Amino acid sequence: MTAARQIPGLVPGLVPDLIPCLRLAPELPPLQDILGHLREAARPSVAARMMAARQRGRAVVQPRCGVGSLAGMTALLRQIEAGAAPEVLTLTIDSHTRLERFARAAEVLAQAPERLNGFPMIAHGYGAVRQMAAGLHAPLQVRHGSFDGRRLFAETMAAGLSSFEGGPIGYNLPYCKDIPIRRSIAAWGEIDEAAALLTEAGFPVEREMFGSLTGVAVPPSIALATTLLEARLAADRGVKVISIALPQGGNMVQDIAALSCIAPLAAEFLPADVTCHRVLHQFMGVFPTDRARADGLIFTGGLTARFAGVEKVITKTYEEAIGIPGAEANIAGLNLTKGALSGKLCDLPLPQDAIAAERAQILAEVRDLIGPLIAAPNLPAAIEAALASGELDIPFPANPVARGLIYPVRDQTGALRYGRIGNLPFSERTRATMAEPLTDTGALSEAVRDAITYFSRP
Amino acid sequence: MTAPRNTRGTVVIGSTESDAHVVPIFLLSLELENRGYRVENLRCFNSAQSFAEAARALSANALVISNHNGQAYDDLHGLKEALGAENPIPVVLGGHYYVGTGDAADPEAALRDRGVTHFVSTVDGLIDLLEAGS
Repeated sequence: MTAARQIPGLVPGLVPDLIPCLRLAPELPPLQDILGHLREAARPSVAARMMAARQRGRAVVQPRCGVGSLAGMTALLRQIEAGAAPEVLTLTIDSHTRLERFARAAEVLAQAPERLNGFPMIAHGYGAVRQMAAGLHAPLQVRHGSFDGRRLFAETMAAGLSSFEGGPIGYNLPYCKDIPIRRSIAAWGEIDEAAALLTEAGFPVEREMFGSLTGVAVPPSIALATTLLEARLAADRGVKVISIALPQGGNMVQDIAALSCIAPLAAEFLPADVTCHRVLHQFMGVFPTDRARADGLIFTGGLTARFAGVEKVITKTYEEAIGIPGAEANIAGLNLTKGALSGKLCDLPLPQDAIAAERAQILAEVRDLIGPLIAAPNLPAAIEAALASGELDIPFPANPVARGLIYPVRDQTGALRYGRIGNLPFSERTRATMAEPLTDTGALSEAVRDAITYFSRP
Repeated sequence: MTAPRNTRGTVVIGSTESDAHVVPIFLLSLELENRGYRVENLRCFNSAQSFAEAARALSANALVISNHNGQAYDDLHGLKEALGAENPIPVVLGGHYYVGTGDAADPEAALRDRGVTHFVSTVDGLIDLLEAGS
């Protein structure tokens, strides 16, 4: 009898070499061993931390961090835990592993781990990660940027970790070239099946969708549209705990409005048995180089999260403009954010009318973008066709499978608007309340540049 | 000032083989379109061969290469040979195309050996260069 057949409710006849993702890694332990480890370890899951945040009405915080060596990664996580006690910790994966160059990651790890820009989890192996996780209080999330994260998810399962970021749109279009979207959708479908399998076995896996895309001035309706499409694809494969992550744009009214759209859109477009959490990524664009202004942006990100009532904030640091942050900068960013989340420092009445107007506009845009796709009989095919026609698009896509016809600008309040809408299928009614697109290429070029450098300019 | 579209020739632009920085290429594309150029935006991760093929196929007036990860010398291996000696066009490189002081005493001389003919540090510098040649 296979390990899988012992789990109630699983597909009958599921055999080890057909188990999603694990089938790609015969060197990893069988599912039964993985489930046994999860039972014995009895560690808190990210899903449980997110639900606790919702129930107590205060967001959890999570840093971004990853270095090459096991000793360095362990020390970094312990330092951050000692200095700021984030409720969720991160393993940011290196570029070689993200791009499936596993042998190269192992080579660099052996020769010069300091040259890796993240943690090469497959090179270290699940056993090392289990040991590292056992010495930490907070559960770990794996963050990467891989258009096909199946092998990495297999290692994540074997390591007993309960959270995996990414999806077939957000981890494809900004990061790679000439990878067909159908390939990413198929790969991430297998990851989502594996996540569903663990969830069904009693170990819920939280899947976070990356709405930050290229990280540069993403209009809220684009971030919401892409993450909700990924969420629906994941839900269709059986995932039950999904986080929709949006980037802080910088205009607090617009950011609060965008985050407040997640729950109604999830209710409208996702199955009722899916728990959908709200996540804010602190500003992902071009950061100020001086610490005071960087800290200001981080603090307002924390306030935005508090006012929007989200479940989690992923923090930035004052070293963002300089390079990969160390422990001290991460601790400072986490504690600054926790100060903003505490409610002790700022609790002003919000401009509810302005937020409501912004929210109505964003909801209309998102419904125009994804309503027809989710109603289509074949969602992956509909997404592929919409990208080809430009009816689904993102700003500055690296991958030509997206047309790249839309450009972001900012209005006088710093809110993100469409400078050019390309072929996005906004209805007449939705367009009537949008800002006028900039037809002059020179004006558009200048406005786009200003939008990107909005916070980094003196 | 905006110039009439597609009246000043074709420019092929893109980042080098290992360079994921795509936003500067889109911005540059807008600037060049505004100046009347037809732009073929190859986006990021372009091999030397793909740059040369696109420039040849479109009879480009210039090839503009962006590199922001300091790996331009390695990434442009074979560019000179791929472009060939017939119908030479300006090959312009911009960005942060070498790391620190580099191993070579003169990194731009090494890049010239790869086939780069001009270096620019600003968009205005690029425009001046293109307009001087048109």
